[in-house]
Amino acid sequence: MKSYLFVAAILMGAFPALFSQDFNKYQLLVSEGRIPDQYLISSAKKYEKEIEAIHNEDVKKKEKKSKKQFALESNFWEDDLLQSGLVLFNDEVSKYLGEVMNVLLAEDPELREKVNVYALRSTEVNAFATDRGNIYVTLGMLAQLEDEAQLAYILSHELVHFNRKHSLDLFLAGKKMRRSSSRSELLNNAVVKDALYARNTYSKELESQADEEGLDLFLNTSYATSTLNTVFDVLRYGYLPFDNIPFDHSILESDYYRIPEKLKLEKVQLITGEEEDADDKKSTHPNIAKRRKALAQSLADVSGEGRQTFLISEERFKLVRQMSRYEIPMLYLHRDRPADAVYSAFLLKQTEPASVFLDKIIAKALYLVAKYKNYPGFSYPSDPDKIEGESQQAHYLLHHIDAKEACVLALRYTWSRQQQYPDDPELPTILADMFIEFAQHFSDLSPFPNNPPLPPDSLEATEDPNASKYEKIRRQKAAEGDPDEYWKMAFIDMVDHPDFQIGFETGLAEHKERSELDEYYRSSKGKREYRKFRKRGLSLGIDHIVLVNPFFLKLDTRKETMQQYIPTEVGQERFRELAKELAPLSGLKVQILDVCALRSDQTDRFNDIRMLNDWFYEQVQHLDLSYMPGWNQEQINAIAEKYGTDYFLWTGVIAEREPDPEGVVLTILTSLIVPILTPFAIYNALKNRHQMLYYAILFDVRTGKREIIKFDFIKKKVSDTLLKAQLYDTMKQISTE
Amino acid sequence: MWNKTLLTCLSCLFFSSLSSQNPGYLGKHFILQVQGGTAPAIFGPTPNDRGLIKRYDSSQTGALSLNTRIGARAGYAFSRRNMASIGFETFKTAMIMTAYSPARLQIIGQPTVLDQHYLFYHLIGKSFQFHWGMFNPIKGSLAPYGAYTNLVLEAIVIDGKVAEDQVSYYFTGYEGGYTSTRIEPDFTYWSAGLEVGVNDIFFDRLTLNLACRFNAPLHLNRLQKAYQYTAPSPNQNSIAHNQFFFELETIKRMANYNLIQFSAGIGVLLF
Repeated sequence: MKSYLFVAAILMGAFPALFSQDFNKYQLLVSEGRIPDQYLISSAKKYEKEIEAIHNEDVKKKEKKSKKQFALESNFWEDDLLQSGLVLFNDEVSKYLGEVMNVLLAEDPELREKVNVYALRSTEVNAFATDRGNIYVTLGMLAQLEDEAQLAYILSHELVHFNRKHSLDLFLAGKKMRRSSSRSELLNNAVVKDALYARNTYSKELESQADEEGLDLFLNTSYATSTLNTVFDVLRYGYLPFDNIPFDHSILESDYYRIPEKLKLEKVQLITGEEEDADDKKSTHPNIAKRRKALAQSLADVSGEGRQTFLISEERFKLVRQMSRYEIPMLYLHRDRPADAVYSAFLLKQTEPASVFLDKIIAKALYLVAKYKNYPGFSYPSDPDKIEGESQQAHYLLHHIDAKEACVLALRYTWSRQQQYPDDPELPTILADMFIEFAQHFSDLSPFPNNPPLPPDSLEATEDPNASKYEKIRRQKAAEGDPDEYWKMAFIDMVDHPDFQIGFETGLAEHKERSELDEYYRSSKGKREYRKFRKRGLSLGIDHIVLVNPFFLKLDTRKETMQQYIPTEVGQERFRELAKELAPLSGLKVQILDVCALRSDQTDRFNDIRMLNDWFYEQVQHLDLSYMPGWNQEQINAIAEKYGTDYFLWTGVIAEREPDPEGVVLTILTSLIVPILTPFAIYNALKNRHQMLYYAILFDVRTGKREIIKFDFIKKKVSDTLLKAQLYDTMKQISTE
Repeated sequence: MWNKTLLTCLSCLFFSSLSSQNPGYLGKHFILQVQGGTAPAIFGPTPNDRGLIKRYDSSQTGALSLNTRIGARAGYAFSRRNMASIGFETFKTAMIMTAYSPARLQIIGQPTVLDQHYLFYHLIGKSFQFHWGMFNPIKGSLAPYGAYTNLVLEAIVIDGKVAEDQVSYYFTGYEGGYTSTRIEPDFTYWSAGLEVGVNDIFFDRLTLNLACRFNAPLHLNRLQKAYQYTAPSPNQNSIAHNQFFFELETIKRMANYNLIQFSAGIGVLLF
């Protein structure tokens, strides 16, 4: 028995990735292992260290200043990226990227030590390196690649950018050009264009260098060169989904419910791709033709003998690519791109037709479309005419379907999936809300027949010679179906189901209540009441909350670099401390989840923060819509369970310093009219203008119910007293019964 | 009548705030503060400066001088929007008025003749105030912290002291003495005001208050009469006339004096 366990353990250890994903019930990628140090050291500390090094450099004062500015901006920007949760670490994808990097730098362990590779949760097709030695490869890029050699080539290109400190070079060049043109730009706009052109030229030089030297590095390995040329195709067609298969509408249809031709395109738009020989004057990269040519020249004398497309493992590559592809539809949902989500889920269903995960992605995307279309004044964000390739069908359908049809489609699809997966915890919430949206168009179910109007062989019936002319027409129409009323067939197999009827009745009642409430709050009486209500404050009677990533941002709009990086970080820390300090005083149990305050062994919390922030971002995007569950609601419910509360608070401050010449003139004029106010006018004219936004939004994360406690613009300089007053008030509103 | 209406309004405001949240500043609601203030003497004299009013000697003409007030205030934040305060202040200002008294020498069979008194009064006021403060939480003010607007009801108990009494005798050269004007220089002046100010808090305990207040008298009918005043006729009772005129002049003086005030206070947040 022990030996079996031992073998199983060996297998699990040897092929962890193979055992870690069931694509049928796909689990989103999460970071694993220990949190890397660079996530946990404050940006200010990193910056201080770099400043010290710059200080000892023997360079001109101006260059030192520019380098310091670069260190400031790049450190803070990158830390924001790392802490955002968009960057994964120690997950299957990043681990694999690291292994490819090991192959590339097998001969240079010193450089390998300095470099980290991370997977970036983005649908964009991109990879980039920073001066700190971090290389980021987007999941969108990984989803499009064809083999490991292509990945290695991209990594080697980025490695050169890091090793040659290209980002710093580009920053310094930009500064230099800006300085030399700053005076003239006021007089001659052409100079600005020249500067931009010069900067892009310099950028292209750096890109060409990265291509060349990256290839040298690549050629030191045994990776095959045969597919490298296709990397440029990946770049050229990167705006398209990761595959191009005709969209099959039947995934949304039933025996009776058919998407009409009016919602289908006869022919989709041809794929043009990015122009190979495009004018690259305004681009930071050389055009594709030039890059292809340079690559071909460099490879002319390279023999393909002994070279392989996969050095680690083809299975690993395919698994990683599949994982990346499975992440894509969810990322599209996060970005409110339902048509892209539906199409990418459709592509993945080709290999995994019974995937619960993919079915739910489609249900969620249709639900989002229905919600948006039901929202007054909504305009669908994508333009299907601009979409190329087969995905245009999905875009066309979801763009042209009207609100009523969208509700029917989404309800039908969600109901079917709920019947198919009765134990799924997310679908009932979506279904319940879908019934409410549906009730916006239907006050009863009478338009929906419970059996087909005519048997499938009815076409034959129309040929009955004894039937009257009108009977024939009626039968013909019924058999063909009216394209404007195709939706009536949606619930033939559902409408008699008692749960369907209960769901409809409940939705109708809820819709009525919601409409009355909406109407009331739109009336002047309601608006007055709301204002009064905001002034009075809430009494929620909640005793335990989780505070997620208390946010602080300091801006100075008078400066070129608006964000005040160091004050922002100091403020962030102070804000967090204040929250800790005030919680016991307000009688509220507050757990703080903040990336900056984690220990390296708290990766689970890091993942929780990421999930919660994704969820919050969705909720904020959908703030105008009625309550909606999150796209990863199941995980959110688990997080609520873990922390022992359903209430999560997002609060933050954006403090701004800004010029206000009009205000100064106004106060001086006032003092001329009322001389006694002169001292105030002088004070007012001399003082700095400050304002801040303080927000605090409390969510019941299980239901999506939100209590906007505060969203106030305050014309005041941010101070400890002000923050304490606001935070304490927020907590008190939550805790008071 | 005015007082009753104002009190009713204030009570309504008070009760309407009871259902509101009441966080105070970190749970502290009660402020005790001392304060000093000033009212510019544009329209009248101060005890040490008769302002722009000329009499006998043009060198006595003053420019812009200030009347000072000192006092204390206690406030309690009833909700995040409202704070009620009671305040006490004391001040000294001055007033110039003309009064009449029967001349010592009268001609029998003729109407009573009157000496004229130029009176320079020092007015000592004790002000009792009730403030109903309104904070706007949407703009970041949470009682007792931040910018506020107060509705103020004020009663000033005035005690006048004659600092100078110069007599113009009806009979020139008859300076043997004069009869008293018989004025009782006590009066209670009522006003309603609007104060705009800001409370800042330091070290979670100390408070700094800066405010500007505009007050209007609640004796509007009598204030109107004060500007229509004429000297008493020979047959009029000069005692009643003087008393009445003292009150009218006091109202007029206080209306001007109290029109606009600036104050600063420091205090402590107790509990």
